[in-house]
Amino acid sequence: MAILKVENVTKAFGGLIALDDVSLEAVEHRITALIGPNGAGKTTLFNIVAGTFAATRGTVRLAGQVLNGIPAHERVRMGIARTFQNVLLFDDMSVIENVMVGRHPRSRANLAAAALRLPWARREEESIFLEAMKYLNLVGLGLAAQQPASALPFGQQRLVAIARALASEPRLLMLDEPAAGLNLMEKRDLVALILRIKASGITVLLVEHDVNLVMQLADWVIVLDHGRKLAEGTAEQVRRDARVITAYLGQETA
Amino acid sequence: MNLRRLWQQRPNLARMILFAVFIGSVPLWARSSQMLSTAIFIGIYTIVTLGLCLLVGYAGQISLGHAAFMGMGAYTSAILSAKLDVSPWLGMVAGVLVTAALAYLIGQLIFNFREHYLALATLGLGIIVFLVFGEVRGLTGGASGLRGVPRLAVGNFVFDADIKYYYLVWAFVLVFIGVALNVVNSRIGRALRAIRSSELAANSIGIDSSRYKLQILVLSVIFASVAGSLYVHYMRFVSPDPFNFGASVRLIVMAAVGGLASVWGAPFGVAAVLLLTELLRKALPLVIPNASGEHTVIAYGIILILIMVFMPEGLTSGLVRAVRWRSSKLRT
Repeated sequence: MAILKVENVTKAFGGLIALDDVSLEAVEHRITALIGPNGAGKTTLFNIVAGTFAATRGTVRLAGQVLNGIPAHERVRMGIARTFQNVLLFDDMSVIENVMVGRHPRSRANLAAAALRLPWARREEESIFLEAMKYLNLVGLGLAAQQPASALPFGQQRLVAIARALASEPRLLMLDEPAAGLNLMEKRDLVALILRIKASGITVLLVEHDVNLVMQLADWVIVLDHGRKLAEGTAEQVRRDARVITAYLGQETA
Repeated sequence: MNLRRLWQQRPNLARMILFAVFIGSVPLWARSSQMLSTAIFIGIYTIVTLGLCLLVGYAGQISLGHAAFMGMGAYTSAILSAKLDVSPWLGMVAGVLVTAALAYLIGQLIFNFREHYLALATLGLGIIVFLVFGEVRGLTGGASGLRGVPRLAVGNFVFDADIKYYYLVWAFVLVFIGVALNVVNSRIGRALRAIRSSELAANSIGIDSSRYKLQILVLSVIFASVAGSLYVHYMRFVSPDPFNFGASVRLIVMAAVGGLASVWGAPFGVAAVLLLTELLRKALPLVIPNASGEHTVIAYGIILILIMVFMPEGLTSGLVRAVRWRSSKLRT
């Protein structure tokens, strides 16, 4: 079953068409990878699904429900979480606070309860901390909890961002180039982590430049080029597709 | 009891106790009435500054009209208690309701925009409110002000002497410091810091930024309004001047000197600026003959720039860091 359905989505920035009538699906409990050369429209598609941009035309559905018009923060509550290509951690917070703030859509203390530190709000605060620790341990950074987020090396910052996204208990996790800037060891750990995330029942949508990583992880690969869907299929099928080779893989091997 | 452990495990509780002890002791050694009255004003402005710190330091939203919000609390209290004989405490509550309602309305209108419209909106509001204070003479007494504001009292206990009012004001300050600390160290506080850091990132992890900016604006003006009421029942007189644009700027300077994102810095920022104002009032005419209020505003501007350049975290954190840096140098 497709948890995410993108139907005939077009996105124009002024005269520039970033996405041109794109339709695609992400099947539940699978890892779907979105690949394509720079400027293919992958991140734009992420932004439209996440609600950062509105689509010029077309529909986005999560589990059948139309998302158009629903603001970004509300979509997180509905089950869409994302990371950013440029990480975007909260630099003046500690690592654990970054993950705790990710629990926001799954907690409910309001300003009055927080200001008066009501008993239930205090208990909730403790559970936010424990949950956040759980996700931090999942990405292997439990020991770095109290460090300032900005003090971590880049690769670990990416993991904190993933923990922060997981903390919102998403149904769909969108990872925007999670392997960018990682070394070989870190990439291997990342593959294991993403497989564990998949095993926990979360659907993953992945934008990635590292073709090897995509081939290892993806159950389904969608190729975008110049804002259009060029091809899709299993990793094997896509790898052999002549159009894909010329448009994308060809450039890299040439 | 092990004080060291308390300090490590509940640092804010330990600081609160230490602070309360210090506050309680001030009247024992501050014998002159001038000092006690200054301490009362420091307390009143600390309450406004705490609210401003939450808004500016944590949510990243600038208000250039906080003195006007304070004035609204003051005038509501004064009009209700002096003209209509309403209980001063009810007047204080009414002031909070009126001020909060207005802030809510403004926030609703502007927080749907991303940019720094709050600064402009509050600047405009401050000017309008100031004009209303001065021009609606039937209600406010105009530029010459409103007299005969009653004192605060609980039953038969009247807060008439400065020493009584001092303890009353600082009890309020402690409560508001507690509230501010609670907010900062909560889910809401984290959301606010996230918004200040990157609104895009905050929204994409599920934080409704306009909602929290609105809520914190309302909380912040509640602080200001209560402080305004405390001010007016102490002075027993109200006129528009203490709530003009210059006063709003002075509040920003107080918050910045104490440290915008620092709850504990607020009282120190206020004390530093108020004492400096006294100093400037005495020293400036010696340097510039015929120096006026406008000159002190210029002095504030210069101080603000210096603070932002050399101690962006504020006087308190800046000094603490400087001391730590020096002692670590001495050790090596």
